[in-house]
Amino acid sequence: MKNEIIHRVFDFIKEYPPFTLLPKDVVMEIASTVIVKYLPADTVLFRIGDMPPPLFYIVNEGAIYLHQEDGSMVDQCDEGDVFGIRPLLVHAPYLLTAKTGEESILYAIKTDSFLPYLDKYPKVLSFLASNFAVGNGNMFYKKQNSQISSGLFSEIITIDTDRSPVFCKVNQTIQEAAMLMARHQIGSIIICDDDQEPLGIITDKDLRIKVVAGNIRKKELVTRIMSSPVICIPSGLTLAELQIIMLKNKINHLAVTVDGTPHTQLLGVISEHDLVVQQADNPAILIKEIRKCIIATQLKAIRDKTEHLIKKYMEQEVSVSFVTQIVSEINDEIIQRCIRIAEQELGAAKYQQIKYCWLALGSEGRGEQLLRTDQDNALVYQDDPNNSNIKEDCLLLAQKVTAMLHEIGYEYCPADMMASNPSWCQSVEDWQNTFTKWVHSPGEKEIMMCTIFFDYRPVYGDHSLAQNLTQHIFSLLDKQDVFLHLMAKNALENPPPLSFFRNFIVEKNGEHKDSFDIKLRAMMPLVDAARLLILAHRISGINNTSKRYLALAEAEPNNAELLLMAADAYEILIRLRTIHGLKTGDSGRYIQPEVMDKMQRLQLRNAFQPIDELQKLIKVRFQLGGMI
Amino acid sequence: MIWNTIKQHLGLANKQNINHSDFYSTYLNRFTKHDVQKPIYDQSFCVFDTETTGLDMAKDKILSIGAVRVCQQSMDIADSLSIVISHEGEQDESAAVIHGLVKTAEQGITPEKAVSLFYQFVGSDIIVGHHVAFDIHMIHKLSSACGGGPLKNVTLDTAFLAKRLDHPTDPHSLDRKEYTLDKLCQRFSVLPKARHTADGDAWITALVFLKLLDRFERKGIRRVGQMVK
Repeated sequence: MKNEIIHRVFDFIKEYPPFTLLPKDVVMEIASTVIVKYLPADTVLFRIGDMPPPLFYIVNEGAIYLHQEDGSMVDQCDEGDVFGIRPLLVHAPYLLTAKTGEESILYAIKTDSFLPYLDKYPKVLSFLASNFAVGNGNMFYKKQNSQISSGLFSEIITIDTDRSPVFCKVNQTIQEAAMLMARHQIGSIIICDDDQEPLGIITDKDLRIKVVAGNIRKKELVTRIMSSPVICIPSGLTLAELQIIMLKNKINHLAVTVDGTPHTQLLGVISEHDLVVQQADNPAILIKEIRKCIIATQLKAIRDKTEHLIKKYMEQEVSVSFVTQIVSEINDEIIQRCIRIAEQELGAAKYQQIKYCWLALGSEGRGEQLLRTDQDNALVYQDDPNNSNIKEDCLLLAQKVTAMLHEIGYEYCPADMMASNPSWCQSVEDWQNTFTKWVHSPGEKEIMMCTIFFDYRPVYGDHSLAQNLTQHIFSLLDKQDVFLHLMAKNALENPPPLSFFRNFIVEKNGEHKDSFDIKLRAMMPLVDAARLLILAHRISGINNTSKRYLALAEAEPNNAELLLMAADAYEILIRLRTIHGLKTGDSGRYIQPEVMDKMQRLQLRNAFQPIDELQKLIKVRFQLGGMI
Repeated sequence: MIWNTIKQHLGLANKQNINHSDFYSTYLNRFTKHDVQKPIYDQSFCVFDTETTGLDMAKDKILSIGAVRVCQQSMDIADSLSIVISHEGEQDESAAVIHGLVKTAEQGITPEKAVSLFYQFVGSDIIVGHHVAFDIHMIHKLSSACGGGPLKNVTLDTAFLAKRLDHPTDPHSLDRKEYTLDKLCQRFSVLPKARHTADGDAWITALVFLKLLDRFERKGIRRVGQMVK
């Protein structure tokens, strides 16, 4: 006989995140301690500065408006929305005022009933943190990083560390340590104190550099050459997490201890090699395979495998910046391989004489392409008085390469912005002239060209040619202030949908009627703003939108909070688009609102937050008040 | 007639209880008279419902009782009651009371245990129910069968309150059919789920009651005394 009262609450909350992320019995347990709160219309639930009770809320019925001090509405919560979660994460007063917009019923969840599950279910924390980010700056960004270091994403792949660890003590000599390593055939050894707590590490690289090639004698103590402290981790981390920790710390070995700190007993060591062995479609292995390919179909198979890898990363909630980095690396390798194959076919000797550089443009140029989208590329070459056919040679190569890329699954660019198009395959001088023309008489088309072209990244060939172009652009900008103003105007052309909870803004006409254009409405405004601000700062060499925001946050500490939020928002958007694209088998650009779950809609809404603020900032900075 | 026989029978069976059974004495000792002038917001209400074998007040029996407490426009789920009564010989005494909430076993608990828990839960609250007179009668019948007496609490009927809201001077003139729990659910957009289980109906009644109270409040009625006069 079920208790209908608890079931009424359970049936409701189980449908909404974060409760969707918890097992049923846990949700039932939480439901049994809920307080149902009725609030008439226009009633204040809490005010800015109030100390929160140990509760947070989910709207069962009605609407709650969250206001800032000046009375402006930050958010509207309706059925199924969670709010007032401050007491879960920090012990601090409310930052917003909550008021009912209409007669409402709230379910108040006791923090005590919920807190025990925060650590146990990392997705819950991640959800709450992203929810918390609304109106609270860069909280989520910080949270995400701390999750990595505290190893909270503990699912799917785990590494077995149940081998008894090999270690030596501080009073042992380097020679003894080296012998232990040789005997156990291991590439590193941990130095422990008497309680078997790790103090430092010696790798075979240390032995090679410091002992064999250096001037430290083998009879000296291990402490002389050990690296300290050792990066320690708890057991049970996923492959992806381990990779990230190694990448972040630029190390190849991690010590596993009882609680993940250096103050508990050593359980074992995980090396990068262990990870490679564990991983079938490891990116490093994919890249090695790419280098062996000789025809496009082989490359296509690898790119398909990469898609699989992306899917796995997405499922494991690996940080987007890490995934884009890896995928960008793989894309670059594929392009490079295609160019080498084309060179071989057309005569490698001839192309060795030509000084040229292959440029990736658009999303690939920004290193943000997770799923295969259209090709955007260009070629720049150095004129050679001894070769009058140089343009034809380059075009011939470009035609071969773009055709191969097409075969691999990168569609031809519908606007023909490809290196195979004579106007996108030019000498350094011609490119400089083109840029000068664009910047001096910037019409709508020219500005559009700039937005695509200015995200270029050298992928193959002589990178100095690309740098040359960048220098030219910067010098043009120094003389032509009005150009950035026009770019600013362009960046404001797509205002973000501010409220889309009740009425999701969707395309009104055409093929994608009733779907949400995540690229145009959410990603482009962020990309455009980042490019503009980076150009204004004359920062070169950073193309990735999130990384641009991180660099901008450093350059503008005053706006750091907003810029970090934007970095975070962009990653969330890439993730949403990728997850959607993997599901629909296309680029994921058009999303049907109804296929998104509550959590994705929340994330999407959160991602809009910084767009509006960024656009305001741009309006002020580039004095666009009167122009728009 | 049958009722009297049962009563006598039980009276004989419970010879040791000369006055009242323990649960009822406890109830009476703890009972404090309501201050009907206290603002509605601060009053404690016990909203309840019973599920019976039928609608015959004489013959039918209570199968289950559900109750929630409403105070300061809130209900604490942990402070609710959901009990199933077993009228068979087999009785499960192991049903545990956790935070005032009774986890019921499939078989239910004895009528004595049930009525005792209910009186304990009600305490000195104002009792609220939909067509509450029937449920109160059934509870009294059960109570006296178990050696207890009637409830002393003020009672409110949500059906009457809704009528009174619509027709303050002559609420009884309104059509009863328009004031069923289902009709009120429709009117106040309360999801009528798990109807006809005692706890399900208690929950729904409580939500309707909360919304009714707000309608009275908006008419300037802030005391129970004004509501029932």
